[in-house]
Amino acid sequence: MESVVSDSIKGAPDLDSQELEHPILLMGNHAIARGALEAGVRVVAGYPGTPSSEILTSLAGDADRHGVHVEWSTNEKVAYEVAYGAALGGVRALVTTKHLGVNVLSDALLVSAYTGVNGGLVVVTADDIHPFSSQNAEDTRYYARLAKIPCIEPTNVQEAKDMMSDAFRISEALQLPVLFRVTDRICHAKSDATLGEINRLDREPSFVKDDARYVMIAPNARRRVSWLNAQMDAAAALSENYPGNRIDMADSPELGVIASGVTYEHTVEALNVLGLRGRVSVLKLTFTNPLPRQMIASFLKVHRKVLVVEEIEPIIEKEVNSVAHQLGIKSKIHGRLDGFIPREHELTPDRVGSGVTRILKLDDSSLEMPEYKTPEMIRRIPNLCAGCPHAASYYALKQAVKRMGGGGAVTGDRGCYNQGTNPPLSAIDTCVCMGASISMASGLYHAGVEGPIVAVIGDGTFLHNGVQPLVNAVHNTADITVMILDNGWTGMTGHQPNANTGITATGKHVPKVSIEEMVRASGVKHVQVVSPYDVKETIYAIVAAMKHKGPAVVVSRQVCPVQDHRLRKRAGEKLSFTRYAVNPERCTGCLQCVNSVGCPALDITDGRIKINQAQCIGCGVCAQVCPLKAIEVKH
Amino acid sequence: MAFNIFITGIGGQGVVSAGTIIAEAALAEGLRIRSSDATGLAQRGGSVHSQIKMGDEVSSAILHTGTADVILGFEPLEASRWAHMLKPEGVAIVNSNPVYPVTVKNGMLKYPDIEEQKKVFKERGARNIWLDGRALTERLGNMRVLNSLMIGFTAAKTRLPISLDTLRRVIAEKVPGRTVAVNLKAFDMGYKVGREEP
Ligand SMILES: Cc1ncc(C[n+]2csc(CCOP(=O)(O)OP(=O)(O)O)c2C)c(N)n1
Repeated sequence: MESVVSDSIKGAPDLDSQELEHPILLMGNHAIARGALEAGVRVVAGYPGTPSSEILTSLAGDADRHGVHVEWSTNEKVAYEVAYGAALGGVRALVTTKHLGVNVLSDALLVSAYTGVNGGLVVVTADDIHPFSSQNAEDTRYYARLAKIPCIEPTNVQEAKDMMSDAFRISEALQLPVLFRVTDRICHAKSDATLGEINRLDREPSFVKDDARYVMIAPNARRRVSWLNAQMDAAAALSENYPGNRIDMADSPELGVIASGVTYEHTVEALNVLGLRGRVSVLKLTFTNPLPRQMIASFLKVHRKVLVVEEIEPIIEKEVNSVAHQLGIKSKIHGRLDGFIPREHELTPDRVGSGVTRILKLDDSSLEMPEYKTPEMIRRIPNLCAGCPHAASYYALKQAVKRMGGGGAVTGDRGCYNQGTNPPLSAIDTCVCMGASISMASGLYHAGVEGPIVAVIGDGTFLHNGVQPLVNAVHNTADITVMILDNGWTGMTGHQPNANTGITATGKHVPKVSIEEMVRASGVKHVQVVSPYDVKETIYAIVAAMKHKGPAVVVSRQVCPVQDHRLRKRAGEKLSFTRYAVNPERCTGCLQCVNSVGCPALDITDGRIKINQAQCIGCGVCAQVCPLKAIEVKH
Repeated sequence: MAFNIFITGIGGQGVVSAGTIIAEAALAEGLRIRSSDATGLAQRGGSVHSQIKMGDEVSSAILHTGTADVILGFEPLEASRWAHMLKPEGVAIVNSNPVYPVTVKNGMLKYPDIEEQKKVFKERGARNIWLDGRALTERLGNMRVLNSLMIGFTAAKTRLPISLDTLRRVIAEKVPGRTVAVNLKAFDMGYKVGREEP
């Protein structure tokens, strides 16, 4: 099969474009991928997560041609360990993850800093700092400090590409993994960018045994921590001299802004819009752990007022304060800590600009931008797609809970199916982190909560971090019901394949892992596989699982129709669906169909339900839930 | 010189591809680009927008409030939601066909009145031009060419610093092969309608 996951966006530049002279339009994630190829990367491992996923997807499309191993790993910790192993073998390796994945891989990261690496190892973390599509907003730069490794924060798409090579060089110079930290406005930004040559470092991979370095028993760890601290001293010197850390002095500076990552470009934009370029200097920081403290000190000395902007925690701001304190510099330092920059959420040119004008207003009140706000509009909540099997599973689950007398709890998990929290489904009670549904259900059961306790988890999330919680539920006898919503893909993050898909990142067919066999091997005695499109059967199966003493699993299996149809169309198939229509003589407009599954293919015009034939995929679930049998197959 | 466009609509309407076409075309004209897309999740039906700056010197992939020369709205509510991005002398071009969220369909929420939405732009002092994209694309027998239609209309109604030839060439390059002809037709129709209307 042709590489099924190669980038479907037509207009994404070929990653191996030979156009080196003229700039091309490049998406940030593709820039990072290209940068890795220019740096001669050999092994790439990652786990999908917005906004990082396109880095690996685009590399996967070209992997074989460039002789690079690219894989979607089972989770981020596994990905990190695969790449780390490769780096011990002397080649350059890359990890891609979203911020939450850094939490998952941190166990390996912190210890691997003690052994260090041989080939360069770069971890790209795409932090959703707002957050736009994540369970939290997180600043992974804390991990660079915790693990004691360098951190690079490019300010734009061009730098995202160029600094990949820098990051690999820094990693090898210091023998340390490097955290390459980007945010949404780099990952999903598009800019003009000029490419460099793709390099194929023809290195001989080798592993030289050295147990005092690689076997982290405590005596070795005690020695290596001194080595690590010395490496970070060396890193500080690199940071002072890094060309990506730079001062733009204003002609007559009244204020100095210290900006890292994307906030540097927001600052420049704000100063341009406000016409303040001549009055405000900027210290641009891209090598942000360790920070260039001497450079910061020299900037503080010539600016009485300083504003620190960064995404998203006041990490640099606190360190700037410590530099000032240590050297007795009296500059007034503003930022997120004193509210001149809002405490949370993404920064924008507006927010930086407003911090700047608020500070300068002390001297000049004419600078304020006229306030204009659009009135608050109703929110458009995202809904599950037409014919989504998850919606059908939720309908069945709610019916089953009702039959069991209600109460209990439905612990949800992370995937498309957490849209099940939105009306009209309103079907889940929790969504925290990947795999937590099953363990939290166990906890609620052991707490003694009455009523059916159900965990709902997707196939991708089950394989990421749900298996151990299930083994744990069996081992510790939690009487819970687990619904595995198996749509065959890691859907929410853009339909990446997982071990249950039977396809690798680079499009190779491989044996599928069997979810039901894994479940049985965990010791679960009651396992049933159903199709959620058969509403009655699914309700029965869930009720039976709830009645079963001990942990029980219902695998609700139906391939994601969006992805299935996309692939079949791509293969040249002409799709045809069972056509449904509303019989106007039977339909009373009770809206039961809309309120049960919330399918976007159900339109209401003048109080009447109509099926939008352009959207309907003929799953037949609405016809099954209609109490009046008013939705019929059209012949 | 800088020219900023804010495109907004709903997943599946072609907002992001319209943004990519405009950005590619501007790049082909020798302009520098900063742009970013907010696409939400993989699901359809959520709010989507794409913002593009083009010029000799550009910085930041996010527009400053009040600096968009054009808001290109593929859906009324999504357009008026972002009215504050528009320059007072800017122009909003809005497809007048609402797409109702499920919460409106089942009566939980009320969709804001179109006249109220027009007022939002008027209060801003900005021009707003509404067109019936559905009626126009129906004439072409293809609803999926709304984005090319809107780009053509924009080329007629605004000072978009990109030549028609470049736009047509980039559309032909970017859209799927078998839809090139109908997309170019949509672009031409959008341009023509834009020219004819006062
Ligand atoms: C630690 C971590 N890594 C990655 C993500 C991003 N993410 C959100 S949902 C999801 C997987 C969803 O797959 P699946 O469970 O199969 O559900 P589907 O979306 O296909 O319904 C991922 C990878 C995350 N939230 N947390």
